Amino acid sequence: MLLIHCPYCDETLPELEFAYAGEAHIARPLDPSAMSDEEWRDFLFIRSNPKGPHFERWRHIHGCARFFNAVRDTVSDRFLMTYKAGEPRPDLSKLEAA
Amino acid sequence: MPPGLCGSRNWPRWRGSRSGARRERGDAGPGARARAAWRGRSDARAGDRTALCLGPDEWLIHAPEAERDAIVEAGAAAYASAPHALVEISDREISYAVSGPAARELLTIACPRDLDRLATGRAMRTVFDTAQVVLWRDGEDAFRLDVWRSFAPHVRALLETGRAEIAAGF
Amino acid sequence: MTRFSAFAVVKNALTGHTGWREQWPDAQPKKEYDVIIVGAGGHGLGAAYYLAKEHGITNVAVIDRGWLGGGNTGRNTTIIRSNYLYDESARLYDHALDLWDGLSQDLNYNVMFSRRGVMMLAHNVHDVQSFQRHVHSNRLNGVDNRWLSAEEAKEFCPPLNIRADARYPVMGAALQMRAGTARHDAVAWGYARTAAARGVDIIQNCPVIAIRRGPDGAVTGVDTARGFIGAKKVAVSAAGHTSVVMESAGVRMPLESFPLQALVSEPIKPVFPCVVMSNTVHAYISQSDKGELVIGSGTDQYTSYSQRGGLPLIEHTVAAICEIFPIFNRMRMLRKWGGTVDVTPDRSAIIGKTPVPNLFVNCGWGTGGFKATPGAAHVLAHTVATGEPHSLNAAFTLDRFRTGRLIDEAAAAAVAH
Repeated sequence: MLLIHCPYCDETLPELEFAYAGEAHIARPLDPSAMSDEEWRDFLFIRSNPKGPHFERWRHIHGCARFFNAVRDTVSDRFLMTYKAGEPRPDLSKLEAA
Repeated sequence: MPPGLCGSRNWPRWRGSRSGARRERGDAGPGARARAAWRGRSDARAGDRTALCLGPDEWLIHAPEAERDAIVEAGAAAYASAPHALVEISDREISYAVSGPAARELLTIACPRDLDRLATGRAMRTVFDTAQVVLWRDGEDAFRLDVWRSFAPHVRALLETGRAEIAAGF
Repeated sequence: MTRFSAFAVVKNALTGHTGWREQWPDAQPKKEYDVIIVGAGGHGLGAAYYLAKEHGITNVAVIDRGWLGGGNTGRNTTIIRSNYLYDESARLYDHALDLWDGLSQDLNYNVMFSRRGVMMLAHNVHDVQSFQRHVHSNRLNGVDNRWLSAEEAKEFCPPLNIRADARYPVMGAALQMRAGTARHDAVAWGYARTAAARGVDIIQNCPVIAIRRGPDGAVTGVDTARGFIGAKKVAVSAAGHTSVVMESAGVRMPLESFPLQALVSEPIKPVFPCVVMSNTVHAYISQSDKGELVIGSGTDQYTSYSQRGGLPLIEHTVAAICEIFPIFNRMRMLRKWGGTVDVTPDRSAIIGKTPVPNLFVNCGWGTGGFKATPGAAHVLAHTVATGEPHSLNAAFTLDRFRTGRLIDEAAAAAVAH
């Protein structure tokens, strides 16, 4: 079972309290009517699905109920960090060095 | 088997009751003040009222039924300076009290949290098997579970099973 | 290639089994091939076999980062069925089922296909409506599927708990009698053996690092751990690793890779006559010929390439199995494992061309690729050989995520499958 650090509760808690919510930092289109079919495809369906560090959203649904972001290595399932929603995407090279 | 259980009748007890107390859940709009409060876990008590901070901008208020109108009015009065949503959820939930020397052990059958880290007098929202619950610690060996009514039979059945297993010495 | 027959078995039995030969050589890569298939699972090996058998293309290599059949082919719960809702899916999966029927004879290798029937339990009103709709749709498509009452389901599978107060009450079931199971390893071995006999090179323990493209954008070969291997055409059939391989060719995929777990119990005497699926609670069960209960879960909630998943999911699945089949509640589980499944947004596969000339892809089979093995391999071989899709996979394009012509089996089943 994954142990996940909720950046709002500042506690590391079992996965059962959390819901995965897909890849992070996918911004909604600002002007949907101006989007081409290719852009809609990329926004709706294309995912980076990396083998390695993955930026993803989680929700502490059975706790503080907040959405937050995480960087997790999809090979080891180890969390490199979690951070609050709205904070900028962390620099991966610095994370891996640490 | 915990020593306290040997040959005694100190099995954990539970009882189901529709909570007599009124409960209200307040959702304040996002704001620096709300988040700052969450860092300090701004649980509060005033008289018979208890406000439990569930998240950075969400509180659960327990209060006697008679104070319902007063709480709603206080919320309305504060609305201009602190925009929020106040929803009465009394009818939604049932509380189970679990007590006895093996109470903590009984809860661990379906609650993933480390209950040793829940201090007496505190509470938290967590999960019991697949049902969301608010878990209160009323004493060293006394807990309370607030469960949505539709999940209550499932939670109750699990507690029954667990109690029977502990009683049988599993 | 050794031809297997009753006579060969008797002869080798009498000569101390010293006469058996290795069934396929461990090939070393040549400089160039007409076709390279990335991924030596059932789909990839099968495609190589059909390329050789039906299209006369034998200068083919199947390359795998591990051993053949070591990915999802060796990690699934071997369920084979074709009762999908939409016309495109029903046709493709029923084509696979037709091929399963004659596969042991075709390959001269016993894949132990057993038509024991697959029963899908309906636990609530929505399930009943959804499965009855599937039954009607399947019948219109000529696909075998019928509706059973709870009592009929119990009669078909006696261990089933149909009491009204059950945690997961059974309100009926959809039964496909033509469906069943097969021996998963044997499928990979059978295809490998027969393809190798026709000249296909099977190159194991050779990770593909990147797909290389020429100045005109077309595929020129693959970079591997053993160096560059040239190819006129490349087909990627790499399951959970498809998006990683395709990324190297500059193609971003509508895929996410999730762990999918399964487990087996200690072996017991034959007690379970069929396959039972409970899609709503994600518990899938059958009994293998060895006697083990083979139990499958749903996917974990998070993406991962770890080939293992979380214990809570296994616990949930086993709890559900014990609720639905109370006779199993004292069984001990022997081992569990995970595979990495590539899931598309509409839960239907992608088989066909890509924006890169001479690069083809077969992926997105999610949690249900094993059942499609011969069908997917067959239409992939056709697509690679002719450069155009077979009529059966024409709708399963990568481009459907741009055009919006999805084959939405996810919405049809209301669960991943």
